[in-house]
Amino acid sequence: MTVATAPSPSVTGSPAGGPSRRRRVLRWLLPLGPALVLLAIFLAGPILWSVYIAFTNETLTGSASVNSQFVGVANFVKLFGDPNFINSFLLTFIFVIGSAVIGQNTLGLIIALLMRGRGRVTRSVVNGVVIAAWVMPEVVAAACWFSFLAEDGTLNTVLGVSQEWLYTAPMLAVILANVWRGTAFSMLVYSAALSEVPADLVEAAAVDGASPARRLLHITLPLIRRSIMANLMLITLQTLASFGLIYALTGGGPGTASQTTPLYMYEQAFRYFEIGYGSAIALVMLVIGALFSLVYLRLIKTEDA
Amino acid sequence: MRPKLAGSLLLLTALTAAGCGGGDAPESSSGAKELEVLYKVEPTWPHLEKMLTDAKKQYEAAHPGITLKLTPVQGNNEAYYTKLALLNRSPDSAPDVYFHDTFQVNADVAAGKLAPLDDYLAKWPDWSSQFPDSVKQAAKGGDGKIYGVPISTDTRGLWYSKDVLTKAGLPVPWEPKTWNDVLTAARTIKQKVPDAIPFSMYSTKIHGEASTMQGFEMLLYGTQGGTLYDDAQKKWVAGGKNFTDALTFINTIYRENLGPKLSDAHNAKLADKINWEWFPKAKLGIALDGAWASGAWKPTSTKPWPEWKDKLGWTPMPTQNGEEPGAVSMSGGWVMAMSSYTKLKQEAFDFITVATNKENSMTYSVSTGDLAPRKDVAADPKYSADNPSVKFWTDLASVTHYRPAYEEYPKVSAQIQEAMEAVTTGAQTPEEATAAYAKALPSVVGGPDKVLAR
Amino acid sequence: MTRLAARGAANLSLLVIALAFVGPFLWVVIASVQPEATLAATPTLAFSLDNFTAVLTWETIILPMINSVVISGSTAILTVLVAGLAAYPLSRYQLRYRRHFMLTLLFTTGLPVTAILVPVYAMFFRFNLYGSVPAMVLFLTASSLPFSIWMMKNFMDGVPISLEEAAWVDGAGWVQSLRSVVGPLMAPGISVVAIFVFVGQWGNFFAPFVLLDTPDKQPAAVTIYTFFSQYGQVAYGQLAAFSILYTAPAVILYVAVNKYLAGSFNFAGSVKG
Repeated sequence: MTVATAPSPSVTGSPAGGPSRRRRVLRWLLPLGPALVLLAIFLAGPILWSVYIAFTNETLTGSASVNSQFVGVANFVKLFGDPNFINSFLLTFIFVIGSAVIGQNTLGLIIALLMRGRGRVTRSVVNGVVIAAWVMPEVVAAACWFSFLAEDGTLNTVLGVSQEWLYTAPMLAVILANVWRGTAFSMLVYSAALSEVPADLVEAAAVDGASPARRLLHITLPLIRRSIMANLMLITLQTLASFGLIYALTGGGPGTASQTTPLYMYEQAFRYFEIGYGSAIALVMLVIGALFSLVYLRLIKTEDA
Repeated sequence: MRPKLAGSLLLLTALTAAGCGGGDAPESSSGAKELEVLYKVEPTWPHLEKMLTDAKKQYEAAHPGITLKLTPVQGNNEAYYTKLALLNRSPDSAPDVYFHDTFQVNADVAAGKLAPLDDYLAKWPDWSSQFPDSVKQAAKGGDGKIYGVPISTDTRGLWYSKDVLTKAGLPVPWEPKTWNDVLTAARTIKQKVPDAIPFSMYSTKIHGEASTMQGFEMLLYGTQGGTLYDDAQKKWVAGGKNFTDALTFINTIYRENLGPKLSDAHNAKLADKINWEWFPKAKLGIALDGAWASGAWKPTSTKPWPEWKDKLGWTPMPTQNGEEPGAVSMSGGWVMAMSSYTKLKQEAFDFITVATNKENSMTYSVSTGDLAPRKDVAADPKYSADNPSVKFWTDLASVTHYRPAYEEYPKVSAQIQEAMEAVTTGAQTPEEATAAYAKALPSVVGGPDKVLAR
Repeated sequence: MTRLAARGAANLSLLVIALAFVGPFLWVVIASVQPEATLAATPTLAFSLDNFTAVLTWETIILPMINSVVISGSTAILTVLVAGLAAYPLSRYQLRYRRHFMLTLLFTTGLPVTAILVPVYAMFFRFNLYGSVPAMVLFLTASSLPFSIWMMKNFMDGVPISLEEAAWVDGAGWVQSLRSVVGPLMAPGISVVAIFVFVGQWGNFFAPFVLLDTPDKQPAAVTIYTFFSQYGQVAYGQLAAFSILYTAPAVILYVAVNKYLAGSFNFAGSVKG
């Protein structure tokens, strides 16, 4: 992202080098400048800063808050021997796979597939309720699920049972709530992708006697694979960092039963005031997010090759 | 050159926008002095705000030219601790004076956030005449200096519903002598009064320090030699049988379904449920709680319950097997403290003396149900007039313990809450939770040499 | 026959899905108009707007909502301006590392903002910005930029370059071209981005919770969280009323751009860069 190469349509053969070269650099640098400055100060800066404090014993209170010291990799050594961190890591994995990769992704695809060729009314009603759950602020979504799963709440009334879901099955509860909240995104991505699948191709296969399942598996899905990849990557990354919904719904509890890594980081940094340790956790989260993205980007690249 | 101009303008606005704002300076540009006071408020707990509003009026009338800015923090104690710690990070955002829980004092002294008050206290006659020596220790730092003027103190014990106990066929007044007596009573209630919760205590992380102090320490300090910190060796005690026994009590409560439902045990508003819903409706037998609970029922409360004086009983929490002195209590409390960053030290201290004078101290103690730290308030008939339990709670001072409020204490307390919650939910057995505590302790208190294995 | 059965099955599945999505809303909507509503889903015939009047006070809703409008609104406007500018060279010029840059942006969209908040918070303190609303807006803008630039570029790619050429011939620079040709043509896209950012920040509770100091600066997201933890069980009807009032603006805005929404979710082409 440093040098402009090929001439743009507007440049009409000005000599290379000298003032025109500067002009060409300015031409992309000026409009991009504000964005680059903001990204550098408020995203890149903090990330680098977190790399630094992750290697100190910085705290918010106590003597280490005035004389924080460089402690080398002590935070990371502690981290990988910390049963609560390992626990949070596993829960995050379950949460991402359960609510994003399986839940939102599959349900979003199913809804998008089912909606093809449905009437206007059906489409807008389904679209409406699914999107409403998505637009809703996290805390409100939590308030909805809090009452929905309460001991004498809607779910138990419908099922005719008495269960304290948030305490007996907290992971299931937060996974379902997140599927509910996030499916709209996948649905929109797949609706857009499916609308570009040529209808005659699918129909031709139908004429050839291919079953609906075969048509889906061998024609439709391969055609939208790029959307599937992009969607999986985006929702995985969003879900990895998900904080508000779980925080408001279960607070990570009971005990540490639904304490995913972002919640564990919050607890360490802002409840126990261990900023250094919290940053170490944040750094690990960033690295994991980066690895996930790289895997997906790799897959997309292989597709292109 | 217009594009360039536009770009730089945008940058400029961005940067200036970032530059302005920020923490408020102790002195506003007009030259008028401003003193910021931080405190906590909950919709159901307006008492401190009321008292401080009074104090603000008195103070501003007596100190023309100084404006007092009252900054409330909405939420429970945990939210307050966090917000205070965040604000205290920088001299610019730190409040000048704040309401402070005594167990946090040493951590802040170590961080240099609090100003010692000794020089000012020496010139304040009330300090020597009205504050008993035991109370003066409340906010004493490791260096022996005083870092806060007590606004409240407290003791802990058992409240019980006379109706529920009578229905269960238990004697009233009820006087348990051992933990077993308490558990037996709870089991009897469960059997005879099935629609009442037999026993309630704070045992989850959401209740924070209340779980540690009202819950765990009330048990631990009632075991033979049970303590968190060995004063002789100056080391933290890593678990041991006392610790396991205390957790076993909690385990018994929840495994035998003698306690509240899990959703209630994890409800941040458990205290409100106990005081306003369960006790008035005779839906709860026994609660392990503190002196201040009566504040919820007094006329100054948001939901008064005048019948409490007849419907409820109170009794000390017994020691494990009736060991001497037979009962146990824990004491803590809150102080008004002064920031080391404040530029208006004398003015800030003056406000502390106003907030803790007889009149304001009275308003606070009477409405909150906390015990008055001042002798003149405690001696005033108005103080005990509407509260038949006050003598009982005050007398518990003879068996009370204080937390080892060293710098590491808040972190140790957090570990205890983890252990309690694990036992409450059944995720760990008392033995497992004790072992986890012993394992985590060295890194929490700063090294294995500060830990005494048991 | 099988076609009919298939259609029936599809409609039935959609009905079940729609009902499942409505389920969690249900009690919130009913509870908001029931006096004395609790968590227990036991509807009565009583109807009253008491819950709404109880929460419609200056401190509970009005001031926090104004704060939300100011914070989310200024973030949305700033983001659209900065992202719109940034998207122009990305869409119009052949830049050597464009694909890498776009992929980096895509990658950045997934960075856990939660994780960045610890250092951001430390930074705000270092530079004396704690409690400053403008500084927080800049941070929120930066955190919305990656996704916004990405969407903005996609919309801009949809505006044929030929339309701009006419303007260039007339001697217009890129600023003019962006303002008078590209901008108006991608107005729907701009509003989608603006509303996307606005709604995202409308619900953002963690950043203001950590970065702002006093309650009078806090947006509704934080107030409702406090309200939830304080009254969640005690006065559920009021929490429900609060939830509805707070959610309404977000839903209304989405409905307004719903028409253009579908088009902005075509990621397939853009991943290719």
